Amino acid sequence: MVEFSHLTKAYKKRVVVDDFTLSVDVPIFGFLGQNGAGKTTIMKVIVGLLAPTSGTITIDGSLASHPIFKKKIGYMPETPYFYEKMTGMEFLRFCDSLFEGGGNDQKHYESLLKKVGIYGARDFEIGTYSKGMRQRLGFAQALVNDPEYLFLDEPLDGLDPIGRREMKEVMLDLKKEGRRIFLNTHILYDVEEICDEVGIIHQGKLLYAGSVKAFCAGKPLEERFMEVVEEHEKQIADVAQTV
Amino acid sequence: MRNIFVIAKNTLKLEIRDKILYGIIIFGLLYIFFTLFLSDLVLKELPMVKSFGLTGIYFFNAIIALFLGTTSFFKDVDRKVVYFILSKPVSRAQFLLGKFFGLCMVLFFATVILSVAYLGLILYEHGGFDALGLLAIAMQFLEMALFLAFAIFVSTFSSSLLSIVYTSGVFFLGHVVSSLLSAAKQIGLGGIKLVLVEILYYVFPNLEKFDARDLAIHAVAMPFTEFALAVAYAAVYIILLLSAAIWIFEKKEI
Amino acid sequence: MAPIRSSSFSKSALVVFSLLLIVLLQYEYDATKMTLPSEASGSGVTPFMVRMADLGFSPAVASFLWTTTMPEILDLFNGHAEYLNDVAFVNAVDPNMSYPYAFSVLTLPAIPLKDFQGGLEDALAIGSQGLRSADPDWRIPYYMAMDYYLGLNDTKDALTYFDLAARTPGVPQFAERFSLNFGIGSNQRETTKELWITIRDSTNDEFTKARAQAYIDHLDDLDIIQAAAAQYKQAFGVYPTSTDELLARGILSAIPQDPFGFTFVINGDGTSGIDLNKLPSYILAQPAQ
Repeated sequence: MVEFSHLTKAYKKRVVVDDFTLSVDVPIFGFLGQNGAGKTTIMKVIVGLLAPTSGTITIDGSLASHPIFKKKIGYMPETPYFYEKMTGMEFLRFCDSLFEGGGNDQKHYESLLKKVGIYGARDFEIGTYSKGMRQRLGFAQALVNDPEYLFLDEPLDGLDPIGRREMKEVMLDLKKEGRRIFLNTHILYDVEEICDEVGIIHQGKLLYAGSVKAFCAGKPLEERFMEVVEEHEKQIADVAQTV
Repeated sequence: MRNIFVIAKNTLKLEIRDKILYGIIIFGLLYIFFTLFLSDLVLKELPMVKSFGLTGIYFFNAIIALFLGTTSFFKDVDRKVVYFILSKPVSRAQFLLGKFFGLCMVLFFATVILSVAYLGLILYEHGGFDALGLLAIAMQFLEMALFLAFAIFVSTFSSSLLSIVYTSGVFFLGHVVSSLLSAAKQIGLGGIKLVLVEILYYVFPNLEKFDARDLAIHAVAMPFTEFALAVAYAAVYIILLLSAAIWIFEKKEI
Repeated sequence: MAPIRSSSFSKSALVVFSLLLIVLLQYEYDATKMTLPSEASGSGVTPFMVRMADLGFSPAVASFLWTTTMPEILDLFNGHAEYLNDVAFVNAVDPNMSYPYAFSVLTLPAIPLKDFQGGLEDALAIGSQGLRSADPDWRIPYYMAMDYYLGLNDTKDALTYFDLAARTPGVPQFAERFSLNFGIGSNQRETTKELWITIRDSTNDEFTKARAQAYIDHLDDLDIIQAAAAQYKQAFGVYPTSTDELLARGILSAIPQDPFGFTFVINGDGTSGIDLNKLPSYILAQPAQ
C-alpha cells in the first residue's frame, strides 16, 4: 500500500503539487491529467529525484524517502535519456550493477529484453534506437531489480499501436505476478483499458481517486473527465469572486 | 561505496569511446613526434628536449581535463541520464564522486599513453630512463586531478561554456597568484589592498607547487617535504571542492 | 533525496576546516620551499617573462626561442648583433638552461671580424653569467678556459677554468683528463707550476689552496719521474720503459703517489707523462661522451 499524506511541492511562488492526500492499494493505478498537471513531479518525489516541500509518502508503512525503498522500486522517466554510446545490454547491466549484488545475471537481462521486444537490438548502440525502442528499454531497466512497485511515467508514449498493445500485455503480466504499478498518462483510453483505479490530477490538485467504473457511471470517460475539470475551475472562480 | 566504483568504471568505459578524447590524445602524440624534429633544432640538448616533451604533456593533459571536467558531469545531469541512476539506490554524493574518480581514470589513461611516448623519445634520443620526468608527470597529474575537481564543482551550477571560462580562469590565476603577491610586496602595496591580495593568494588554488617540470628539466630532485606538502595540499583542496560540489548538487532540483 | 539533518552543519564545518588546512599547508610549503639558484640578468626581465615562469612553461619557451636564436650567430658575420640581444632574452626567460651560455662561449670568439669587436669579451661575460646562474655544465668553464688560453694568452685563468671544468659533475672522460693535465708537457711544466704557485699563494680560500697544491704536487711528481729517468739513462745508457724499472734498479725507493690518481709513464724521449690507458676509476665513471 502506498499512502500520500499532504504532499506539497512548491517552486518559489508556484505550487506544483498541492496538499496531495491519497491511499492506493490496487495492482494498477493511473494518474490521469493534462500536461503540466503535476503528475511527473509527484512521481519524481516518490522515487526520490525531488524532495517534497512538505508532506510524506509511505510505502507499506515506512517512509518512501528511506534509501532501502529504492531497492524495491522500478522507475521509468518520461522521455528517457540514455548514454547514447552504450548498447542496450550494457545499459541494462549497468543499471543492475547499481543494486547490491547485481550486474551478473546475463540470462535475466536477456529475458527482460525479450519481454519488452528489443532483444534483437541488444548489442547495438542506443544512439541507433528509435523512439519506440528507447521506451521499451526504459521499461526493461525499470524491471531489472525485480521490483515490487513500478512507477512508469508515460510508458506508452511514442509507441505504435502494436507496441502499445504489447506493453499493456506486459503490464497485465506484471499485475499477475503480484507487482504494483503506478502509471502517469494523459491518454484516457489507456486508463479505461488497464487501470484498476484512477487519480484525476488538475493543476496539482487531486480531483478524484477511485475506481474507473464508479467514476464513469455509464458515461464515456472523456466526458466525465471534462465535467470534473470544469467543475473544479468553476469552484475556483467562485472562490476568487467572493474574496 | 561500491556504487562509486561502478559509476567510475562506467564513466571510464564511456569516455574512452569519445572521439574528441582520442583526437586530443592523437594530437598529443603528434606533438611528441614533432619534438623529435625540435630536438634536432637544438642539437639534441637534453634539458631542452625534456622541456618540450614535459610541457607538451602538461598542456594536452590540461586540455583533456578541461574538456572532461566541464562536460561529462554536466551532460549527465543536463540530459537527464541521471534520472535512471538517482532513482536507484545511489546517492547524489556517490554519483558525483564516481564521476570524479572515473574522469581521473580517463586522465590517467591519457597520461600513460603520452608518458610512454615521452619516455620512449628520451630513451631513443639519449638512452636513459627519465625518472625525474616521470615524477614531474605524476605531480602534473595531481594538479590535473585538482583541476578536474574544480571543473566538476563549477559544472554543478554553470553550463559547460561558463564552466570552461571559470575553470580556465582559475587555472591561470592559480599559476600567477604567487608572483602577484611578490609583485604587490615589491611595489610596496600596503594595508587593506595587501591583505586582499594575500587572501587571494591563500584561498585560490596555488598551482605552482605541482611544477616539478622545471626541476626535472634541470635534473634536480624534489625534496620530500615539498612533495609531501604538495600531495597533502592537493588532497585537501580536492576534498574541499568535491564536498562543496556535493552540497550544491544535493540541493539542486533536477 | 535524503532529508537535510545535521549533515548541513558537518558539511560547513568540513568546508571551514578544509580552508584552514589549505592555508596552513600553503604557509608550510612556502617555509620549506626550495628554489633553483638563479640570478635574473637584471634589465632583461619583464613582467611578461615572470608570468611565463609562473605557468611553468619557461624552460620550454626558452628552448623554443633558442631554436630561432641559434642560427642568428651567422648574422654576426654581417655585423648584425641581434644574437646578443636574443641570447640575453633566452637566458632571462630561463637562466638555468646551460646550453645557450655554452654555445655562446664556444662560438662567439670564432667570429673574427674587424667590424664586430669584442666577440671574446661577450663570450666571457656570457660564460661568467652562465657559471653563476645555469645548471652545472662542464662545457661553460671548459670553453671559457679555451678562450682564455687561445684568445687572450691567459694561461693562469685557463688553468683555473680547466680545473673548474674537471670538477663539474657530468664532465666526460676526455675533458676531465685533459683539464687535469693541461700544461703538463715537459716544456710547459715550469710555467704551469709557477702559475699554480701564484694561484695558491694569492688566495685565502682553503679549498682553492688545496686544489692548487694538488696540481703542484702532480707536476712535481712528473718532474721527479723525469729526473729519475734521466738518472737511469746516465746509469744504464737507455731510458727505462716503465716506472717499475726505476724501482727495480733502485733509482727510486717508491713511485710518488699522484694526487689525481693517474699512472705515470716514461716516453721514448725520456720525458714523463700520464698513462692514457690507465685512467683513474673516477674518470672512467664519467660519461664517455
